[in-house]
Amino acid sequence: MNISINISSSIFQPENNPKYNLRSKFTFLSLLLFLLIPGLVFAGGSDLDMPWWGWGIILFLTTFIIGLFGVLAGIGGGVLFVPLVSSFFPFHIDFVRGAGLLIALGSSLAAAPTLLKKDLASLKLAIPVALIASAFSIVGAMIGLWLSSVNPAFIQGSLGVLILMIVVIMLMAKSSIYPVVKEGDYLAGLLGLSGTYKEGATGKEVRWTVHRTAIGLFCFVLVGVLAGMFGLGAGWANVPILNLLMGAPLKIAVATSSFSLSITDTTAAWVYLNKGAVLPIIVVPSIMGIMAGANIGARILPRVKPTLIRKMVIIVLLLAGVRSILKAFGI
Amino acid sequence: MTQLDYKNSSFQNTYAQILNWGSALGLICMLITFALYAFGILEPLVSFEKLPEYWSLPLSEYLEKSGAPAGWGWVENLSRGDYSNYIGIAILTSMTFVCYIGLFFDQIRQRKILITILVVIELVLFIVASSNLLFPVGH
Repeated sequence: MNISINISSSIFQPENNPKYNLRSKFTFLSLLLFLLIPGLVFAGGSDLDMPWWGWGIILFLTTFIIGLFGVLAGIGGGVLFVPLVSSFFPFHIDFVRGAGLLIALGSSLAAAPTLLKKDLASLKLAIPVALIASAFSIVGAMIGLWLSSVNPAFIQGSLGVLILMIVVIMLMAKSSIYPVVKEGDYLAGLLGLSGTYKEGATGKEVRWTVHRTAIGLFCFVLVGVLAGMFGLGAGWANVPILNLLMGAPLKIAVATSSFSLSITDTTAAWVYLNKGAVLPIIVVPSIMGIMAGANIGARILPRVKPTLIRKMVIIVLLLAGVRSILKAFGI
Repeated sequence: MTQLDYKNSSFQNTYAQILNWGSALGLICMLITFALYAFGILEPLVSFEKLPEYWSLPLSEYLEKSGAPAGWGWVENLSRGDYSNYIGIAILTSMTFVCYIGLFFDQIRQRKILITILVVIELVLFIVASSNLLFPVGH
């Protein structure tokens, strides 16, 4: 049976109890805060007369909230970080993309050991997927840095368009908890793209494999280019490809996507590191902030209503996308 | 049709352990070196006063005006507050390489030729990306 449901509702079930009002108030206030911080920075603009440590603290707070809401909305922090920080902070987009890759890498490294030990992330599936994505993330990183050297507006505008496309994907994307894969194809057998995991709720052992392997792997060419070019984690693209196209169970798709970013982003991050596009004053507070936020987010996950958060994150992404395009035109 | 093997990779747990310890080490290094940098215990290469002037510049202009190194030039400046942070960053960006070395030997031992080839290609990509040989910049 092929059960198609929305990703957010499949992973997070809103609770139905008397404490819900309090929780929804918490959610509402948190969302206001989420919108407020970039708004304040934007109001001040890059001319805001603030010492370096002031920007460091604001960056830590912003990335803390990005990490928190990234987890609650079921998306990686990188996809929020790059458009928000490049649009609302005074840092040049070259440094923001370098930091974005390291943030996605740090988050993935933090989550991967648990996901691998629980057999949710599959090393066998990640090897070919990450190989293709990481090869093309080098290409993407070089294209991004070259485009930026020609005219930073090109990269800022393209980022805005991409973010708007991600918004559309987030609005339209469905998922399938257990896609029907009657039998794996030849390439899946050759590469050993199959495995087993234990379903937490039932304790039942689930065997899985994938199909449409060639076309699925080909899609990771584009994923790699975009990840390297814009410094985004690419979970928003990985999960639909692994789950809907290749037929991996949703949990395997989400976990393997998260784990494979640790491989893909490593190669692109080295390109940015070698080019000198890594500023510790941006990278370190951001990594610490996003990891602390993600940690808290994972703890409060069962207590908040995820659908509202997801909608608000989509609105924030929409604003950041539009702002990126306006910034590209010097508005 | 190739027979499917539903067993997970035997190296998966070892891979997880290496990542766990390595990323913890990287983060601890990053925290310590950032504290040394932020509290001025280690003198930075690019001063805090100049930093807000430089961070809004395009990369090429930033490198030119600040005198910051590109390529592997950061290794020569590890005693500087700002570049000492690269120790933790380099550990984080090297963990996958270390895991893949272990994966390579595991696959060789199991005589899985195709996967071994994929692992070798990935290792070559890591080396190319980190070597600065393909698109050399800086000193």
